[in-house]
Amino acid sequence: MDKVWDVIIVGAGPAGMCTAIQTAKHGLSTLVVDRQTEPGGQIFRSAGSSSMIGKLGKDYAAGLPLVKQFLNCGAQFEPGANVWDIAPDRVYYSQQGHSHFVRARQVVLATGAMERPVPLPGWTLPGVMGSGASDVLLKSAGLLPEGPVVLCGNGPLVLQAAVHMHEFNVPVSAVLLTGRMGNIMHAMKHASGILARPGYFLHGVNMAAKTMLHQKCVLGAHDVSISESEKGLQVHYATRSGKHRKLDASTVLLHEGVIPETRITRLARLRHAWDQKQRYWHVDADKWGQTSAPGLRTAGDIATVRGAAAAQAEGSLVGLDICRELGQLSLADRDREALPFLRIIKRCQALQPFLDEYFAPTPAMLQPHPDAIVCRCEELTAGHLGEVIREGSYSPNGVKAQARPGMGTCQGRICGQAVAEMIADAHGLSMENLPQYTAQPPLFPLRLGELVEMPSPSELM
Amino acid sequence: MSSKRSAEAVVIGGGAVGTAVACYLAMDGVDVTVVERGEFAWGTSRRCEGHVVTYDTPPGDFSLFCKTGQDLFYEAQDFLPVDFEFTPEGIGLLVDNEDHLEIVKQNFEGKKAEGYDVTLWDRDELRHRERNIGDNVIACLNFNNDCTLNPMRLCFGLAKHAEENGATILPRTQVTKLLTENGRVSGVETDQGIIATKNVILSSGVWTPSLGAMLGVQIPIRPRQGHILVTERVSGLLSKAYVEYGYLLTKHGVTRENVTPDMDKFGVAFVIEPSSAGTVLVGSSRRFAGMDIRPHPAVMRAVAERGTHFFPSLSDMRLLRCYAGVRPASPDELPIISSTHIPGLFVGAGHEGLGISLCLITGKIMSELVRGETPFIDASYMSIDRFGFNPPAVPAGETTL
Ligand SMILES: Cc1cc2nc3c(=O)[nH]c(=O)nc-3n(C[C@H](O)[C@H](O)[C@H](O)COP(=O)(O)OP(=O)(O)OC[C@H]3O[C@@H](n4cnc5c(N)ncnc54)[C@H](O)[C@@H]3O)c2cc1C
Ligand SMILES: Cc1cc2nc3c(=O)[nH]c(=O)nc-3n(C[C@H](O)[C@H](O)[C@H](O)COP(=O)(O)OP(=O)(O)OC[C@H]3O[C@@H](n4cnc5c(N)ncnc54)[C@H](O)[C@@H]3O)c2cc1C
Repeated sequence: MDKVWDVIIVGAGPAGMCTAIQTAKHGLSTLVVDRQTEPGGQIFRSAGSSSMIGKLGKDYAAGLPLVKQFLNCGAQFEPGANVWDIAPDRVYYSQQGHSHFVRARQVVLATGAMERPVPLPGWTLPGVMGSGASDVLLKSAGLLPEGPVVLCGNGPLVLQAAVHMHEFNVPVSAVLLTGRMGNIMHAMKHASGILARPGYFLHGVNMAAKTMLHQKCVLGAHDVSISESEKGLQVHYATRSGKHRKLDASTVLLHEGVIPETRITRLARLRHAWDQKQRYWHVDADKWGQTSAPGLRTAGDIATVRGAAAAQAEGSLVGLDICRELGQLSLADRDREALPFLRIIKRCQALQPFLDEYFAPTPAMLQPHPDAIVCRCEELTAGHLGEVIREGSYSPNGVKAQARPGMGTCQGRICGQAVAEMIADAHGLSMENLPQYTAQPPLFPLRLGELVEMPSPSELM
Repeated sequence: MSSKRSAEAVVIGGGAVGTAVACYLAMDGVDVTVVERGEFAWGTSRRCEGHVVTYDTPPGDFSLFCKTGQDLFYEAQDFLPVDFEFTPEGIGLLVDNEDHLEIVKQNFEGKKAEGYDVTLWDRDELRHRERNIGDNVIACLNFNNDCTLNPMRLCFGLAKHAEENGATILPRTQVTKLLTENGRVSGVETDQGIIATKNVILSSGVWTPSLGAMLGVQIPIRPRQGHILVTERVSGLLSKAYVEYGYLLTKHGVTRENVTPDMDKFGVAFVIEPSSAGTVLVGSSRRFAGMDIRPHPAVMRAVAERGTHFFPSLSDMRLLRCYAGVRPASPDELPIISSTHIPGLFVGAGHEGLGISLCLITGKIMSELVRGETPFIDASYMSIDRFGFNPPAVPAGETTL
């Protein structure tokens, strides 16, 4: 415990790996912890061992060399290490049932994003999951969902899932696209951004074309709900012209975009900002990942969701600036080495407004139907929470105090934003003025005995 | 809020104390407005436990005061419009060492003489009732009328009841200035406009000193931090709430033997409460750490360790979250329920670890003080004058509405 690392990085996704590659290369002692057993993060999950590495396209295959480079870069990697609390100079984690704390001069949070939870009736039924969760099963265990599948949502990952289902011969009843029809018009205003990343754009167009060609697509689907039936699941939805339809399915994959998983940055009491276009909270950090707390930085999706290429470039920039701050690089050298990464980020930024408009969340989707369970842990419906809100609660913390959403096992990870959207709507408040739930340690349920067995960190107070 | 408002009395703070004061004033027919910068239960009253206790004090005047305060909850249960999870199951005071046992036995006799419903369980009886109790625990003094409740629902219910009785409740409104005219209170300025009033009650917990300072009144209240651990839902671990005898010692800053250095440093003493939701709250700690309410793993660890000493099977329970709050502590740990030297300015604050227990009695007395009546129970020793920091307070009865 006496050792003080130069850098501790939480998360070995593209961002964290790239930070480590830079800091280790410039001679800083670097520790990387990740709750997964292998490096790779969300997009390159299990890239080092997956049987799917050759079968999921070149995006996924690109992870293998990066993972190899990371494992050989000289940083120490602690797999299966689940971080439950942090401070600017230390990290607490649980590994194989034992808790430890480690200290560092700089801590980087590169813990990524999550799918935006959008409650609708029946979304807690067995067989309904996020399309990201399905992606995880595919990459890590080669598991495909049981067909027929109904895909429902908005965002590039819906199209990607539709293409995967086709390629692996999983029957799909329909792809319900919940994005607004007007999005494309707004997006076209930013069409010039396409020129910055033509390859990436074409890849997207290609996925959309394949989806349209091979799957039954319903544009502008709304009022979606799921119920149990003899055959498994039944998906109810309304078409653009308001006709009500039903579909049978064994599996329903939902996806309404990706948002930063801010519990860890809120736990660190960092300053956050609201992104009105993508409708999510994110940590407020500069391009070097510096947050409102000295010594604590962020990299990758945790700060802004811009995809794997940007996450890698951001991670590299954060690493380079840490090298400068800890005296391994001069300002001039940092700037010189940063150039190629800054260029990548510039290109990603240029295309971002187009993507933001095209995949903008549909406001009606964000106001859950009264029957939808919003807080899954405490099983609280939107109807009940709506009453509590109208009775006189004006913030997520206020509702939490009166009705317990966010007090269960997931500590508000799932319901936090949905509750805020409901309050904003009910009281006519803007989301910026609705701070998220206060996050408290531990980040996940921890055995009390494990806490007791941990060496005392009291001399750090 | 319209730019011009007025009220006979303005209560600042929507915690347990402020909402109770507003509630009694409204029930007593006073046109009262309660101003809270957040929502109802925003400060310490949403970061505490909900014990309504008489175990805390040796026999005497204050003990009787606590008991009278507790009786009011049995009444409130009937008139409050919100289910505040009132659980009158009693609370047990656990003893884990022979020296303490003697004191606790005296306490038992004294409380019995004062008419309390108390029972003493020996080792075997305790094991019979609580099969998960730790081996070191040798006795339990039960305060059978002590109870637990949900403080956040209580505050909300008190605010609602005040409103139903004509009070104006103003959540999300922050007081920025106290106004006087000819040396007497004349109003409060908030971020939503001015409220004209001749009476202001400061029941703002740990923030009370900064409000008093606006008019040069010194109110000696310091924040005293406490941590609470919340477990996942468990069943069959324990049947009611408990607290260790050592809790009474940490409150008065007494150094204890037989605890680890961390427990001593953080003032850790065991308290446990099964919540209505099925989770278990395990506390707690006591230390002066400024306004910091970010839980610290070292304190969490010490609280957990103390917990497993009394209930070893807690070890296998999972911790869902930890939170910390700051008790408003006066130098002698007694509340301040008082007029001040500024006519029309009252203080109801500084309840330390008893702000939930004593909120109703504070509200009732404060309503009497504001209306110029003599309190129904002697509260003279809760006057701000006892500290000698300010000119003598205006005597009760001279501040009629
Ligand atoms: C479900 C989903 C699917 C996606 N699919 C694609 C895709 O197909 N193509 C694409 O370009 N982008 C995709 N993205 C976005 C893409 O994941 C990111 O842009 C990129 O992976 C971000 O990299 P990162 O390093 O910031 O985070 P991540 O890759 O998410 O890595 C974060 C790492 O931190 C670890 N971690 C998190 N919390 C803790 C903790 N408390 N303790 C220890 N470790 C922790 C995680 O285990 C993970 O390994 C997807 C995102 C999501 C959420
Ligand atoms: C860990 C812990 C456990 C506890 N357990 C118990 C227990 O079991 N039983 C018990 O009886 N007590 C317990 N207590 C003590 C109890 O919580 C406090 O004594 C009580 O909550 C104090 O209530 P209050 O109304 O005085 O203060 P608060 O609840 O803090 O209310 C003050 C309010 O004033 C508001 N405010 C401040 N300034 C302004 C302003 N300028 N304008 C408008 N509003 C303002 C604040 O937002 C706040 O809501 C515990 C405390 C802690 C920390």
